[in-house]
Amino acid sequence: MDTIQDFFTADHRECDYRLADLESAIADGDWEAADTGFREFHHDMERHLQREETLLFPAIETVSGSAMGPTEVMRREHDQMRALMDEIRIAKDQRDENTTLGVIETLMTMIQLHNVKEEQILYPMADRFLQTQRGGLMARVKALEP
Amino acid sequence: MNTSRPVRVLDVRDLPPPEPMEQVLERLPGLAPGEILCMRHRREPFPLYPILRDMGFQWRVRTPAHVPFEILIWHADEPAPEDPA
Amino acid sequence: MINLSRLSLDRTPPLWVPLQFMAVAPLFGVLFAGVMILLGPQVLVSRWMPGMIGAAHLLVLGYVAIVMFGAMQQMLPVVAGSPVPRGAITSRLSFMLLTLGTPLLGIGLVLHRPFWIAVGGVLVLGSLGLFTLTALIALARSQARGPTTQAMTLAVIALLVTAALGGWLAGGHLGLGWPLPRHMTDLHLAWGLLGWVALLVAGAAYQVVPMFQMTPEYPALPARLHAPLVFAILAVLTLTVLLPVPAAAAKVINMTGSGMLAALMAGFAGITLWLQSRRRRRNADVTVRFWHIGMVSLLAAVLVWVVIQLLPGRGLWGIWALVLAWLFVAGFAVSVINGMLYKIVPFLVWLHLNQTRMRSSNFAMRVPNMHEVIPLGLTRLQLRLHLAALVAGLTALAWPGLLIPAMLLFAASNGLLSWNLFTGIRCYRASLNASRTTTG
Repeated sequence: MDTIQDFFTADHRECDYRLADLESAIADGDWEAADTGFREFHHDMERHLQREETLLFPAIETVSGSAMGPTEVMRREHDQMRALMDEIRIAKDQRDENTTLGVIETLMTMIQLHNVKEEQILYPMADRFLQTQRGGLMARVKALEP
Repeated sequence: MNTSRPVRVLDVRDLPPPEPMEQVLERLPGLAPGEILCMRHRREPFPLYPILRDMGFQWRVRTPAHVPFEILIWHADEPAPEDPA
Repeated sequence: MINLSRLSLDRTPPLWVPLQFMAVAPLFGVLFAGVMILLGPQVLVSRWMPGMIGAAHLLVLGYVAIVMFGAMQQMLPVVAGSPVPRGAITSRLSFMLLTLGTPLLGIGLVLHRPFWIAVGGVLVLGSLGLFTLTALIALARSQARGPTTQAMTLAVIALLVTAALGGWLAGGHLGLGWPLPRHMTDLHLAWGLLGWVALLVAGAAYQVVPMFQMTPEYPALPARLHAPLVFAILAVLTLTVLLPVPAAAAKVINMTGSGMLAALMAGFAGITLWLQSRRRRRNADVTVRFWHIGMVSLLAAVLVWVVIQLLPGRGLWGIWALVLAWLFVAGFAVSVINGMLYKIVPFLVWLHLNQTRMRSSNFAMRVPNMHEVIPLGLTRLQLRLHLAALVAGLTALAWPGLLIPAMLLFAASNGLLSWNLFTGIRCYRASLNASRTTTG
């Protein structure tokens, strides 16, 4: 059976790859590919964030009895990522290569550092404390579409 | 007794560090084939030895009665000197 | 109910603490180059020349250690979820002791000033002691048990051993009464370079190479075993020196152990290059290129080591030892660190500005993206200068007359790196000031 760690880590990688492909398209000056690439990236990313915000984090908060701990920090970082995604969309729509690449670099770094915290600490912890309810939780996570 | 090899004496006993090291490193490149440099020192210059090796010299330490330490230095491709009494 | 209160995922240390020191650190590279030029080509005759020993400490403590301290303080909360205890005070103190102690120790060794060596040495030991102690506390508290935290823990312990051996050697140097056996210096070097530097780079690599370059993960078993093996071999080699091992057996242990260390270093470099060749991000930014240079240099260093073993006389002597040292320190350690600085500094500037914007809810505030923090053109120029300095340094070891141009290139490269990092700091200040005028 899927662990929380395995599933969400794989989900991270898929979003990472979408962003890397978007970056390549823009560096190549292929704006059509960039438009498609951004749509796909944005969709996958938003789905991942919602999987965490609406399902995983509340489950963690229920067992820990607090919405203030690490999940609160993660939510805040999600909002920062959404703001950067908006910046990318605006710069891309203006066909501004330098700015788009600069913001992509920033978002990529932000995402990576955020992912490390989740993959090293939060997911292993979630797997330990949510063991009994994991089956049902993961079924809902997989079914979620934004 | 073979004392035919010329010996140059370098007495650094009264010099403050790092002058002994500087002086000997200054003299060594000018040491002619067959020559021996005889360094007189008040203590054993441990940091000098690996440098001598890297520069292609061999050495021997003696403790004669009148000097605390006497270091004989010669080109590594030459035979070790017999005691220049 | 689970207690999450000790788990901190957002305790970023204050921006100023690491950033100022990271921006100053490359100036020790400039100082190193200046000292080498003053010493002149004759210093290249042996790694045992006092000037060479002093200059090497300027580079390794002043540049490598200072940046690694700063980088670790940033990384620990992220990869271990565990910040350095009393981070603001301990880091400021350990940085200050190191920045004061290093020039005293380095210049003291060059000029043979026992008093400077003693004072500088005590300051450096104090800094290393404080840093290793606090880092080990943070690592012990961490709940993360991946190869990164494991390699980091062993690297920090290796640094402690290096510092202890260094203190012992300095005592012998000052004539405190104990002898200065050569193999102690070799152990000091092995623990410092292969234990501290290489293991910390490996620990960081397990995180940052897949992360920033989007390569596949490091294969699990080698990543798990690399650091413990290196550490265990270093320990065995040390015990062989300390215990009464018969000479013949010691020789066999030494050859086997150092051969395994060389293979482990080459393995790490090889795997990293292989992963990088399969990276998803096709754009090779300066950081990727610096990592490339670093890994190729590490492979070259291992190759030189093998050549030395095949030479008659066998041993690290003459110019070959310096070729090896230059490839390892300037080629491997400095390149990787240089590349990482171009990720760390722009990101920290962005992160802190962004936090300021969020906290003040001043959404009109403009936060520059990472490419705007340090102009890309200047980072690319610095990469070229670094590569040129690296090659020129190797050439100078064959033709010592070229020492001065090589060191001028190295000084230029590190001077520009420091300038670029200060540009990042200036960008931070300018954005903050601009935000104050928009709100005020």
